Amino acid sequence: MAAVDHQATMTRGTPPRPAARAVGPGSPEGGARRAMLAIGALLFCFMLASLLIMSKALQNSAQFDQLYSGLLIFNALGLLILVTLIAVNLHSLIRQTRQKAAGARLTVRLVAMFVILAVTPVLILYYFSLDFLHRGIDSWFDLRVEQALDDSLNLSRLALDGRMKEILKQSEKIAEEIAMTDDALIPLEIDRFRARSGAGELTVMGKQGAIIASSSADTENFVPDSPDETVLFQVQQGNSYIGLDTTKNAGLSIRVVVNVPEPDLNAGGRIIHALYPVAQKVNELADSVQSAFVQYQELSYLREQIKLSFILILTMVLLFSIFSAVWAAFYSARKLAAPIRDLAEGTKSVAKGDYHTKLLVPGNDELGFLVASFNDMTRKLASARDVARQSQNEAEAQHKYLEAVLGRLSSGVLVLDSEKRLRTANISCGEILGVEINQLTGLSLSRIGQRYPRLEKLRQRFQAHLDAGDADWGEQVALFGASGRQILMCRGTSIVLAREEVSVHVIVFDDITALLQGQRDAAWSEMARRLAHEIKNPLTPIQLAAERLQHKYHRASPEDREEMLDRLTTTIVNQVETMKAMVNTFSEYARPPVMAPERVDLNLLIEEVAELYKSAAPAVSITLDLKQDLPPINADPRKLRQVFNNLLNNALEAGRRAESMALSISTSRVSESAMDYIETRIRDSGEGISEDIIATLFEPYVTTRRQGTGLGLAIVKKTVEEHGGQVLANNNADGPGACLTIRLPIFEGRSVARPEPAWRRNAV
Amino acid sequence: MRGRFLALPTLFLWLCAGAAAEGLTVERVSGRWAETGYLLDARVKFELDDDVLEALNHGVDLNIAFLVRVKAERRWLWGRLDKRDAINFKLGRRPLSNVYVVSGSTGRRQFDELGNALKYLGTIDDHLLLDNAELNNEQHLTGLFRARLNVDNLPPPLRPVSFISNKWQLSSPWRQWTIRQP
Repeated sequence: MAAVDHQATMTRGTPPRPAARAVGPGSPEGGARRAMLAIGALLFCFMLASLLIMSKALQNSAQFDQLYSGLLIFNALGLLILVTLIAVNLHSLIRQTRQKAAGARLTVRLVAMFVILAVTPVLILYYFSLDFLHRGIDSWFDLRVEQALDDSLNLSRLALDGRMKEILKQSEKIAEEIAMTDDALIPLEIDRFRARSGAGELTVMGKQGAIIASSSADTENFVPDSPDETVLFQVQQGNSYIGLDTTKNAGLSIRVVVNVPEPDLNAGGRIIHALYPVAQKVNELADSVQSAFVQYQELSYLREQIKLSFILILTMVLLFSIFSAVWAAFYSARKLAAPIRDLAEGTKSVAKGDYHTKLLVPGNDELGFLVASFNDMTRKLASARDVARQSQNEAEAQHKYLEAVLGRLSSGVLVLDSEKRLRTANISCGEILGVEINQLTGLSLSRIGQRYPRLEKLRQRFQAHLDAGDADWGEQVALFGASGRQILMCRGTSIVLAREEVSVHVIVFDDITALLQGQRDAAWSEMARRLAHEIKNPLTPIQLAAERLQHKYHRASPEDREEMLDRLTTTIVNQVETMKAMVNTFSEYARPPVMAPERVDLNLLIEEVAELYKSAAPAVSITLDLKQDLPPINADPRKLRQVFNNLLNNALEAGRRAESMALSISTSRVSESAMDYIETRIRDSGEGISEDIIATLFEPYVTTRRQGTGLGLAIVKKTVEEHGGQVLANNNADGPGACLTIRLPIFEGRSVARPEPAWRRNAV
Repeated sequence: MRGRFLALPTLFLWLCAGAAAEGLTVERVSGRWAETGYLLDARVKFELDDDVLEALNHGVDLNIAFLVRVKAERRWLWGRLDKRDAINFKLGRRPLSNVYVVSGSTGRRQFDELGNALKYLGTIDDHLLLDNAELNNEQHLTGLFRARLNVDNLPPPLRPVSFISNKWQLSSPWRQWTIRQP
């Protein structure tokens, strides 16, 4: 019971437990079972008493004789109820067995065992009882006894017949004497006649039954007995009557009716009616003989019925015993199997995860100990489950926390399992790689590489480190795609999940393209600024010194040296001018942006620039394919004009080495990452861009021209990015030449100064 | 389907008819008003089965009951039972004197022949059914009369057989007559 007490306690902090489910004899099912037991016991007692009374009644007990029929019906109904109870139990057991209910098979075995143990001896007893019954009843009847009784009766009859003959003769003598007596004298003489004949009662009457005179020894009885009509009719026919009769007060009597012989044929005729009492002793003996005879005769006649009745009662007792035993077997088997069934159900509940099943301990026996142990086990299991659930909740909370942190992390984080399948990845991972990362969960690295060829190089590097078993590694990986070069800084490590006992690879990477580009731009700007500062300052004294030198020594020098001096000083001054121009360009590149944005119709601006170059380079075929109805952009038109000048200059320079040159400029509206842009494509038919420099084309001092400063495209890129745009360069896929693409955002109603768009980080 | 529904009542009626064997027949029942009250006269014919006769001749007494009921008829309801009466007789055989004895409330008579005993048994004359004190102002009185062998008084061993055997189920149907007011 200690286990039960512990069940009620609840650990603080654990989730509320469901109410414990009690299974056992205390349940409603147990109450119904007790009620059924009480009804069964009551029925058992009533039927047992009823059978006993029936048995008494059958043995001619006057006390219960009248109850026999009712008891018969009651017992039949009782047996019917027992049969119904057994049928209900049997049906229930069969149903439970078919449903494979817990404890059903054990109950079947127990019931079968109990029934066999109870029924077998009862049936044997019944068989022998039937045999003894037949033999016993048959032994009641004996031919000699029957013959003796017949003889006794005949003897009695003979004895009485002799007496009756004497009485008849005597009565006929009295009749002859009465015949000689006048009717008027008969009342006076009748007492004498009766006394002389010894009759108890003597009556003289007419043949029609009219009483003439009567005499009786019984002084209290004044009403004379009279013969019935048949006797009178017999006497009227001339025959005398004599017979034994039982009168009301005298017991057995001899009744005599004889005709009075009449000498006068015309007389109406008279008869005498006499009752002769039989001697008391004879009367008793005759009654005893007759009773014994009748009883034996009745018993003999009812022989088979008696057997049948005894067999009926015996069969009822048998059925009562068997049915009671079977019903008791059902009850006992169920009661014995109940704790085991409860244990099985409790085990099923535990298997389903319900650890709060509480079984009522049936007693102090082994089953009780087993049930108590079960309760203790479920209690401990519930406690362990609660702890596990708490740990799980904590782990889930940590997981959510980690997920939130990772989701807001700008770095991409992905986890690969031991099979190199993508297990988890954060949102930044998809944004950096430009893929729908959720769709890649569960895919292997090779599948991801096949699906996204742009990521193949990244996959190869991951694969290499994983195959090499690098526990902690870092590498910078450059990806190339439609949006240009992307540089990722990747770091990986292997960790072992203690809970799952598996090794996973965690890879963290950052898109450092913009960072590197920014660093490069800053470095180049710093260098340009220093160059402009350090070089520009001495140039003016150099130029002034050269001019002064020319001015001072021009006249003093001989003629042959004058020319040389002019040439040298002019060269110095020209080169200084050239260097000043170069330094100004550097200054232009390095100086901070000063924007004067306004609404610019890009198509119009391009047409102006193109028209300038059409007139300046008539040999070059310049075609415009400008999309109409483009919205204006918010930009500095002076800087944009410089951008297009630089680009067209570069294109024309590239085409000078070619025999013919074609230049096409197109504009269109594109959308990417929920942003609208005006895309301008400047496509030439020149030599194209060398693969060696295409990746660094927009960096300072990258040029293929001997006289170029290498800052044209760098200034283009800087200016476009200052406008929040993007510039790309690639060679034509369908022919010679290159194509430069500029994307400028459409900021409807907003200024240029705005946060840098995400795609810009990826721009080369 | 309808035949099936009709079959059950038919079977029930057949069993009832079989259960009540026609061994007793009320030939006549009538009554008359006398000074003492309403006197009943009835004639019942007995045709006992061989099994019953054999039992009688082997010492089994037969208890015959004549059941009488008086109902007051009502216009809209069933009749109200006003009186129940039973006239009980016992018929037995005495082997020593070889006679049949009929005993009852009216006395005890013995007969050499069974026919005479049954004739006596089946003759009810001047049985006082209603005395003047019991007479009320009911306009319509109906009498019901039947005769039956009372198997509950048979020896216990014979009762199970008498319950299930038609031969022992001796009973006449109810015979009705109108009791006219004096």
